[in-house]
Amino acid sequence: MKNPTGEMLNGLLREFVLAPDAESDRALETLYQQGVEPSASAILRYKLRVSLRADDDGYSNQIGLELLSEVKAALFPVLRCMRSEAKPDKIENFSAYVNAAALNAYRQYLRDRHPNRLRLRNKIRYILARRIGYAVWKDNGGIWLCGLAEWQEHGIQKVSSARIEGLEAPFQGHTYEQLDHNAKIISVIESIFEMSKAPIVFEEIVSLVWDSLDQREAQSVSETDGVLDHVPSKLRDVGQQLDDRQLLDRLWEKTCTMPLRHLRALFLNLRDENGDNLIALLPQLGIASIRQIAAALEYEPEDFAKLWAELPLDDLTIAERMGLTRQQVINLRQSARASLRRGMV
Amino acid sequence: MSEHLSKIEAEAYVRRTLPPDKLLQLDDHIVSCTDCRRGLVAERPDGESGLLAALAQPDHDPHLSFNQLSEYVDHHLDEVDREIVEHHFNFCDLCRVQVRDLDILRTDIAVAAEAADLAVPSTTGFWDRIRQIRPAVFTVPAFATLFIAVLFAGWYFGIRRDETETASVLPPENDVHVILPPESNTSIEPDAVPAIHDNKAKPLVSLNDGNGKIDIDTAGKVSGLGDPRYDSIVAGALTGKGIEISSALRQLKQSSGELMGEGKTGVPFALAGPVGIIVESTQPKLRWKPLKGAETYRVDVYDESFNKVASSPLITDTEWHANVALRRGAGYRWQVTAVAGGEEVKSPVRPAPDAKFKVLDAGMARKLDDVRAKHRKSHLLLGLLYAEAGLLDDAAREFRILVQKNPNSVIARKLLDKVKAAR
Repeated sequence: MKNPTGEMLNGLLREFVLAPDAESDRALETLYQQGVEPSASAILRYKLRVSLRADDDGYSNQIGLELLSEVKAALFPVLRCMRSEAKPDKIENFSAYVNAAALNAYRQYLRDRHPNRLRLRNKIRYILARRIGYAVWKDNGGIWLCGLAEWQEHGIQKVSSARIEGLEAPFQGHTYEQLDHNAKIISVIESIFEMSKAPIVFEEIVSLVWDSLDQREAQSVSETDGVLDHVPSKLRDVGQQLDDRQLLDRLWEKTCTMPLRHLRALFLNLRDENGDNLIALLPQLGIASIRQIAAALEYEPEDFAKLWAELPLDDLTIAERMGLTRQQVINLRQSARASLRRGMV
Repeated sequence: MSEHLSKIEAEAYVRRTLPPDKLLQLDDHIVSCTDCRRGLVAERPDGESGLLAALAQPDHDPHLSFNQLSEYVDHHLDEVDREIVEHHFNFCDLCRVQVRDLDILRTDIAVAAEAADLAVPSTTGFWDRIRQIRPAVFTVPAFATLFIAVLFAGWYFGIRRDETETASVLPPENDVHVILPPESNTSIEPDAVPAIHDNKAKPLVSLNDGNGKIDIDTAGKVSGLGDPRYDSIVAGALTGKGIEISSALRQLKQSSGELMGEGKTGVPFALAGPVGIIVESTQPKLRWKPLKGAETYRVDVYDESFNKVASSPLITDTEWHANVALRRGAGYRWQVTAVAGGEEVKSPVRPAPDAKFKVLDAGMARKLDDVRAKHRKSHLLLGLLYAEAGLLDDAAREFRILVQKNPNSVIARKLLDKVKAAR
């Protein structure tokens, strides 16, 4: 299926969000079939080199299909929230949002199942970005290429897949015993570029270096953290052994070890899906008093009590109060949530 | 206040229409009164789950991006972004491993690049010019001998005047130097190469640094750095006036060596560091050697008034990142408790000295951020500022690269030696 344009995806999203209740299921199905699935599939197909056909029972393809399901499941609560608010423009660029969700799923998969490959991938990316004379760039189709900087300047065409296969052979059994690991990686990259004499798709050079250095993953890889981190719908599973109240007490304790900026970015904007204030629930549930919250946020109680009625503040206001940019406030809050999340596991 | 909230008060509390003093007064009661709280939360039965989701629901990729990792390693992040990254390391081993990978890789790439720079032969140096005129010189052996003797004598006595360092023979690839004015105690610089017939002001000393050269002329004017704020510190180093090393280090260093090796009284297992040093991170990594038979360890960090400010959970690793941001400019002590066979073993304990370190003060941290952002290729300036900050390992790393770029520079070697001696 053809990859939908951003405009088309936004249109499908709008139709779903504004559809009458009787037609919402059909609109959702259309949004998934014609919008979400083709967009996410394109990313996963490219990253995993799989067909994503249901009848392809190859191991990698099955992984790909599983990731696609995860992406669709992860988007569902977001879509439901947008519909309940009847705000189709809540996410300005839905296409980018879907792509990011697919990329996150892929990255999480790499971390869970292939941590060593991910480490190698990052090393190669760093070498290509930092070493003088090398470059990483996107071609017109949005594919990441790498090679000598002059190849990019002169618009040299990338190496074909057939030639890539030919590049693999000479490195088999090549010994680099006398070099340390980083020097080996650099040396293999140099050799590949010497042979290819043209740009290579970034993911392909990762595979070439991986194979050349005969890298392996460790036998046992913990999957727990990653999966829990990634799939919001499983949040509740974490708390199976503890009730909500105990979890909240634990989280509040955890916040006390958090840097102040993190804490303020999180608590000054604490709201539910509908934008309603949530910080007021802390004293109402007996988790922390207003004075305790003020102390944690390093405010005088009287000053914080004055601010209380204005909460939650929007990110721009928080940014101004803290002398930061809006994006920094968002990043701090995400970081705070991630650390609290770990505190729950 | 002991009475329960009236209906009107409860409504005003929930609607947040109370004046601040009344709000605090009612809240003090609510937090200790189950009955009142029950009445308040009845309207939001899903409050707990909503709060849980808002506090800990991941709304993004839960790990650091490649850009965050690489820019952290390259020291390109500002204070806030660095805090985000360093806070993430507290709970994410995967990202910590990756940043360590990139940090090592960064050094390897830098060293490889420096080596490549050094491998490029100079085509305009003095010795090239000498080689060009070599036939003529060889036809006049007496002149050549005299010339070399004068040159060597000037160079040799220049060095002896300054220090006892053994001078090596000048390699043919390198250039020759100027004679320094008598009031200066700086040695002749083998790498400083004033053009013989150059009409421009002649540099007194010249070092390969960054993408070019940093010079100081006979008037003490520094060029090549492009940032007058740091001219004086560079001039001081290039003219042999020495380098400033943080005075706070001296006090910290006293007896610290005894903690680095185990078997001493009060040191059942050695602390690898930080001991007796200044650290740049507000959440430094504390490392120690394993104690035989220990199943777990706990680390406690105390401030200068012996208040415990951070404490690790029981861990099996022999390293731990402080889990709270320590105060910039403050001094700290730390102690590790090992649990072996159900018994606690602490290190260090009296009569061994405390394991102390200090967190770099905010002003110097900002200064370093500025220099790393604007002069990241100037190993000379970075080394000088790291030394001033008391970050001697970092200073030594920068000066080592400076020596590689200026293999015959007495000054570069001297800078490295001074920092090494101070460690």
